[in-house]
Amino acid sequence: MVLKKIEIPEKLILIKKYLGKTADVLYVLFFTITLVVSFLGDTKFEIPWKEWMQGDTGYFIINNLVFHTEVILLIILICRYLFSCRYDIKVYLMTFVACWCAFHAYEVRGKAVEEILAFFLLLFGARGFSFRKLMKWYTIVIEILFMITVVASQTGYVENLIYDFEDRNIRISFGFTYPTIFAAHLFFLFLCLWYLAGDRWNLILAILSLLASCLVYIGSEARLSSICFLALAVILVLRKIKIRWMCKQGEHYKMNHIFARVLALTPIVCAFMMHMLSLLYSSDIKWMVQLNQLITNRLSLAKKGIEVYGFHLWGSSIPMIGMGGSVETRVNYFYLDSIYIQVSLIAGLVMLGIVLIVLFEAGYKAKASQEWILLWVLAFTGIHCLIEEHLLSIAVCPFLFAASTEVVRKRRSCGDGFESHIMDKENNPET
Amino acid sequence: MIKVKDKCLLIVGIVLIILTLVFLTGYQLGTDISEGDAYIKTSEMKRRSTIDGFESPEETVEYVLYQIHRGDLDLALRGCAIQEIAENFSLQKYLEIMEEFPRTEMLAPADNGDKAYVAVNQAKLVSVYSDMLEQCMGIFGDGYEMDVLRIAVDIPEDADGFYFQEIRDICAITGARDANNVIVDMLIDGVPRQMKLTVARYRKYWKIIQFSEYKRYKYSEPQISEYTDQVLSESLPLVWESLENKILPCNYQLANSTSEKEIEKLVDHLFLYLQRGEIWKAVSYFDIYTCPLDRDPDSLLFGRQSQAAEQLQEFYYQLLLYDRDQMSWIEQNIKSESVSLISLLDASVMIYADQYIADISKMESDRAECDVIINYNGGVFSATISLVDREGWKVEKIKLWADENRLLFDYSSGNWYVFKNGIVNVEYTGLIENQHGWWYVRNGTVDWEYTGLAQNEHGWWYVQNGAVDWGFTGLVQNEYGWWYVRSGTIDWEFTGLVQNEHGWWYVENGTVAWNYTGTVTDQGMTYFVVNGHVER
Repeated sequence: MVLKKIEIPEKLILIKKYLGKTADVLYVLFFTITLVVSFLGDTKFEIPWKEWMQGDTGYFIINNLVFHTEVILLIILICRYLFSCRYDIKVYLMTFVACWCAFHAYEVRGKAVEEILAFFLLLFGARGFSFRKLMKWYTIVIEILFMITVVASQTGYVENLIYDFEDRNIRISFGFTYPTIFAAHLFFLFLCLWYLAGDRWNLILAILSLLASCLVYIGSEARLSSICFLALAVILVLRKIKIRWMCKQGEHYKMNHIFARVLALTPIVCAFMMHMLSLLYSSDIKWMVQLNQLITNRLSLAKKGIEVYGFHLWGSSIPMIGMGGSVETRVNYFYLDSIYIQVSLIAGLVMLGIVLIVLFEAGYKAKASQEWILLWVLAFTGIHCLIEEHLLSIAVCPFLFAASTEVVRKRRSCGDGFESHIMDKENNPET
Repeated sequence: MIKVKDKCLLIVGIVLIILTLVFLTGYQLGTDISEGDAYIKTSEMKRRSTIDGFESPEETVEYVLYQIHRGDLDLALRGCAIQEIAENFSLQKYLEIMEEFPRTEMLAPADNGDKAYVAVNQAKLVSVYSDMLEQCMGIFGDGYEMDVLRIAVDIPEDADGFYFQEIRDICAITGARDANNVIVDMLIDGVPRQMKLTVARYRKYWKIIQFSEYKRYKYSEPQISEYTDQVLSESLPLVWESLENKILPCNYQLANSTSEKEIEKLVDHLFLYLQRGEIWKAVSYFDIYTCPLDRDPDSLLFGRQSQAAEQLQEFYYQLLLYDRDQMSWIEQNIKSESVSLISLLDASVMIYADQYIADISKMESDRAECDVIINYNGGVFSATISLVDREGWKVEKIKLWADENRLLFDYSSGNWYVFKNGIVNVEYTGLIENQHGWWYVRNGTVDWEYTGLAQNEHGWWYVQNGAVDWGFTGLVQNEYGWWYVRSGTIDWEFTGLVQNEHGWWYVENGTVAWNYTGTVTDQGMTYFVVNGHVER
C-alpha cells in the first residue's frame, strides 16, 4: 500500500489561519468583557443591567455576553484549539478532562461554581498566548478600572462603604464591596506591575509598597494585604541589593534551586496547610484559638464548614453570608474566606485537584523558564489565598494563566539576567 | 504541558497534591465510618424489587390489598406514596389552597428541596400508612375470607369544574400528575364491604396516597363501609396468583439506633446532624428501640420514629419562625404570605446557628436533662434535651422552648440570661435560681452591680453584686425601710438590738422600730432607745 502525501490547498490553510486569528480576537474580547464584568462585581458601581435586559434582544445580549458566557467561551476555546498551529493531544486531553470536570461541577452545584467554570474556560482558552502580553493587557484594563473606582468613590459617584466595627478601626472600601477586596485588588495590581517591570523599578516599587501597606492598614485595616505589601517591599529591596552585587561581580542573577522549588510549591503547601489547620482546629488548643482570633475566626468557620458539609467529589451547596456589599450588620454570618477551603467544600475535591495541578504547573513553568519574579508572585498569591478568596477571581488574580500560556525568558546584559518577553513573531509558533 | 526539567520538583509537587487529596478523602471516609449508618434495613426491607410500579390505579390497589390480606406490611407500604409525597409535598400550595398553617401537624415543606424535611416527611408518612394498613389488616387481613369483587376508578358521571379543580389541587399539593378515587367492592367472610381510597400518579406509576376518598383527608381510619352496590354479582373474585412474585421498590426508612457514652458528645452530634439536615442520623439518637431490633417494624415503632421526627420538625420551626410579630402577620395573611413562610422555613440556614451546652441541669442514674444555648439570627435561644441511659445516652425528648424562666450562660456574649420560651426574657427583673445559687436579674440579664434586698416567692433576700449572699447578717436599707437580715434573708422573728455603721438600732420583727422610744434590755444591759436609735 502506498501512502500518498495529501497536499492541503493554500486556500484552506489561509482560511484556517484567518479563523484562528478571529478566535484569538474573540478570546481577547471575551477575556476583557469577563474581566470588566468581574471587576465591576467587586465594586459598588450600579450598572442598570436589569433595565438593559428589558426586551428579548437586550436580555439575550446581556445574559449571554455578560453573565453567562460559558458557552461562548467554550466555543472560542474549541476554535482556538482547532485552528491552532500546534496540536498536542496530551494537552487537548487534559484540557478536555479539566473542562468536563468544571462543567460537571457546574451542573451539580450551579451558580456557586459558575465563576470557577468561566475562569477555567478562559484559562485553558489562553493556550498559545504570551503570558507577558496577556498580563500587559490585563494590567492596563485593571489599572484603569481601579483608578476610576477609587476616584469615583472619593468624588461621590460611587458609594464608598465605611465600616465601623466594634474593637476595630474605621475601614474604608474605596468604592469596592469590602475593604479587603480593595486591598487585594491593590496588592495584586502591584504584583502585576512588578512582574511586568522586572527588577528595574524595584526601589520605586518598594517605596510604593510601603506606602500601600500603610494605606491599606490605616484606611481599610486589611491586615493580610498590609503584611504582604511589607513583605513585598522587603523582597524588592533585597533583590535590588543582590542583583546589584551580582552585577558588580559580572554574574547573572540566578535563584537558588532549592529556594526556587520552595517558592514553586508554596501555593500547594499553603492549600495543604490551610486544610490541616482547619481540620485540626480545636477550641481547647490555646495557640490555635489565638491564631483563629488573629485571622478573624477563619479556622473555626472552616472547621464548622467541614464538619457540617464535609468533603465530597463535587462539593456541597453552602449558603454563605459575608460582610461585603453593605455596611448593615449581618446577624447571620458564615463565610469561608480561604479559597482552598471554598473550592474543596463548594466545588469539590475534583476541582480542588485541578486547581492544585494548575497552581503547580504555573509554578513549575515559572521555575523552568527561570522567571524568578513570577515565582515570587505565585508564592505571594498562594500565601494571600490562605485566608482570602481571590485565586480564581479573574479581576484580582491573573497569575494562574501562567499555567496555560507561553512563559518564556529573555537574556539581558546584566542584573537579573533573564526577563521574559512578549512572544514575537519569530519565537511564537502560534503567531 | 509540563516539559520535565526538574524531576525532583515534579515528584514533590505531585506527591503533595496527592497527599492533600488523599488526606481530605481519608478524613471524610473516616468521619462517615465513625458516624455509622443513618438507617437500617430489615430482612424484609432488603427484598429486591422485581417491578418499578403499576401503571394503572386498579393494579396498585389490588397489589396493596393482596399484601394486606397476606399481612405483609413491608410490601403493602411499598404500594403507598411515601417517597413520592415526602419529596414533592408543597406546603406553599397547601397554604394557598387550604388557607391554614397547621405547623407540625402537617408535613414539612419539600418546596425548597430540603433533605431534612424530606426525611421528616418520610418518617411521618410511613407511620401514617403503616397505621392505616394495620387497621385494614385488622378488618380483612389473614384469617378472614376475602373476595375482591371489583376495583374501579371512581370518576363522577357528571364531573364538573369543581371536581377537576379539586384533583388539580391535590396534585399541586402532593406533587402528583394525576389523582383519582378508587372503589373496592369485596366480601369479607361473606359480608359485602366497600372500601374507598385515593391514588395518585407519579411519573407513570400509581401509588396510594390515602385510605379514604380524597375529600376525607382528615380521616384517621380507613374508609370501609358495610354497604355495597349490587353490581357485585357480575364481578369476579380477583385472582391473586399473578401478584405473588411482584415486589415494588422499598420506599421507606427505619432509623438506626445509636447512643453515646458522653452527653456532651451526643448533644454536639445531634446539633451537627440538625445543621446538616441529616434527620435520620438525628433520629437514630432517639429512644425508639434498642439494637438489635428484635421484632418486625410495625406501626408502633414507626409511630415512635415519627414522633422523634416531628420533634425535630418542631425544633426547626420554632427556631426558624421565632419572630412572633412576623408570624402573626403571616398567619393572618397566610395565602399571600405563603412564599415568605416557605423561605423562612429554609432549613439550610441552620449553618448560621451555633450551639453549646449551658448546663446539665438534672442528672440521675439513668436520666439527665441538658440545657443548650443556641445563637441564631442575632438571638439567643435555649433548648432542653431530656436524655435516658440505655447502655449509652439516648434522646427522650427535645424541646426548644422552656416554659419557665431559666438562667443560662451565653458563651458568645459572656453573660447570664434568663430564658423563657426559648428567647431572652427581657421583661424579667428579680431573683432567679440555678444550680450555682440565687441571682438578681434585671431586664433578663444578671445585674452584677446590684447590692441590696430583692424579693421572690420565698421571701426577701440580701443580694451582693448580683448574687444572694447567704453569709450576710446585718441591717440593710431599701425603699421601705431598714431590715434585719440573717444568713441572707430578712428575719421577721428577730427583735433586739443591732449595730451598723451608724450606731445601734432597735429592731422589732425584722425592721427598725422608728416609732419606738423607751428602754430595751439586751444581754442583761438596759439601753435607752429614741425613735429606734440607741442613745448612749
